[in-house]
Amino acid sequence: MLHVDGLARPPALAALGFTLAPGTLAALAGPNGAGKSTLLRGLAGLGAGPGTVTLGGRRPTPDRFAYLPPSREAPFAIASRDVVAMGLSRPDAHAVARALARVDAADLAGRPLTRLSTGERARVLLARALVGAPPLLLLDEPTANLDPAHALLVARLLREEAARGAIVLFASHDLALARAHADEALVLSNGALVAHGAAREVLGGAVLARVFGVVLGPDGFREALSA
Amino acid sequence: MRWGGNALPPQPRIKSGVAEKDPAPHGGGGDRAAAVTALDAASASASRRAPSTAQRAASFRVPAGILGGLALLTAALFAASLAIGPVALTHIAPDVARTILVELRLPRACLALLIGAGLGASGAAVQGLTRNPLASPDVTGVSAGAALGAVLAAYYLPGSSTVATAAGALGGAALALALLLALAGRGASAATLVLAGAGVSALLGALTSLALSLAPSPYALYDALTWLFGSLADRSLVHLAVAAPLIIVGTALLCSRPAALDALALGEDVAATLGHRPRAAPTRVLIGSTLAVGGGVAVAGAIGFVGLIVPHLVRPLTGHLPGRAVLPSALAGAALVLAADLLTRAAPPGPELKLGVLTTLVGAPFLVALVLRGRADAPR
Repeated sequence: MLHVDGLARPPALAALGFTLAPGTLAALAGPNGAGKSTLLRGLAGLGAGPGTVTLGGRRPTPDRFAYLPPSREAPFAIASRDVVAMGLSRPDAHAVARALARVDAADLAGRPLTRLSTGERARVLLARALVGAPPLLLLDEPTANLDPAHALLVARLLREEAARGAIVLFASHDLALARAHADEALVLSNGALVAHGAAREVLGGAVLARVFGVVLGPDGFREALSA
Repeated sequence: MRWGGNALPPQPRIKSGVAEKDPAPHGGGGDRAAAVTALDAASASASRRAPSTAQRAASFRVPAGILGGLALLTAALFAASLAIGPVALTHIAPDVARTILVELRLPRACLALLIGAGLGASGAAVQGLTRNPLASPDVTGVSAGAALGAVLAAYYLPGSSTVATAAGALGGAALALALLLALAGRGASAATLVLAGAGVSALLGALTSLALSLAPSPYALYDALTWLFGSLADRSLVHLAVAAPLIIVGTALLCSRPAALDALALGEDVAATLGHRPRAAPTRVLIGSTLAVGGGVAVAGAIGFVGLIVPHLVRPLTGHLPGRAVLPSALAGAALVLAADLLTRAAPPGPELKLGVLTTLVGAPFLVALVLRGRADAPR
């Protein structure tokens, strides 16, 4: 279980608490600046602030969770396979190759990170987070910069990770994808947790209109009329 | 491009029917919690892969052939530095030859080796720390601080000039580090460090210019200027004794824990979540480069561009992992300074070709070539 109690990172995030069970694929949604990245960083033990985070009753140690930051920067021309290997505690070429294949980047193994497109780099960096198969995955916008097919591939990957028992919490602005694939959804607004429940319910009309100010129409999202 | 999505098996839903039908918000009841505790325990035991994060270092090894080759090259240049000189040692009395070898050539060769190693390692580590391939040890302001301290010491400190200059340079380097830490604060990000370093460097450089323009005598000015150009000529065992401990300790610090610098390439947050203490790497690199660069500047003046260039030559051989490049950069830096010092001695008799001038003469075009090649190779 992932227990979060009184976690706060002022001023971006007010104290909040929630619990996620093993095998849960949870989406983290909210408008820009709502505190999604701050929450994920806080769960990863980054940034100063009060609150407790326990995974299976203990503080998550580096070998028990992986964190994918929103940044896709790459200052050095490190080969993709060496980047993915950083997610392992000991060398395992097979695991690295498998992780790269899972994100459809097998043919990028020898390519330096600086020579990849942003979407390719995003998949390689995701493979780094997945390769160690940790019990907790904290992923900041894993589907950003991806084309629809690869976004779907990543959504299925996250489902597989949850199926092996991992707790997967991912931030996303792709509400349709999150609604279709996630078990649960957490919605942040102005640094507060305003909704947590089944993804299909939470990412439905009422919350969308209240938090994002949009409604889902036949032609996609449109602005909600102010109440 | 192939897309492997279709090859994936149908989504297995093996959540033992617990959270599946009951994704209720906020702790859906004690029975559910009890049911999933088993899963938790299983995943926890399966993940007991990394008893200590220090083991992550084991993932990355520099190919032994590269280290061996660089070590051989350095050894050969070191031997050449001992063998080559204005006097052929075989044609003179053995005791004179011994004196020349031990008291003139040995300190010079050892200093070239150590100073080069310190500059190479500092350059590689500072580039890794700041995640900026165009950074050099100079960006921390340590070189500028050491130069200011040495110039002031040469003017005002009485006594043996070697020890006084070295002490001044080290004091200046320490001052630069203190200024940098005061400006950037503890646990500062790479960008803050670079910015603060630029400020410290500019300030101390201006103070050095001021000190030069206020020289007490033309001779003092001449001495200070020629010293600033960087040279290994006429260095003694005393110089070696002053510099060696500092450079060796500094370089050893820089070469330790390469995995932390490798991880920093993915960002400070990722490095921290991989188990590398956030403040450890900056502290280690800043103190290490202050000792290694300060010790070198203290006895030989400023030797430019070595710390900038060497990591660029080395990184392609080590998979571009910044931490893994530090030790080979130390060896390559030693080889480069040994070779450059040999070149200054091969120059025709007359006014000495300063080592620092030579490395900068070679280094500046190299830097331009690097930038131009980088532009041609830019991803997009």
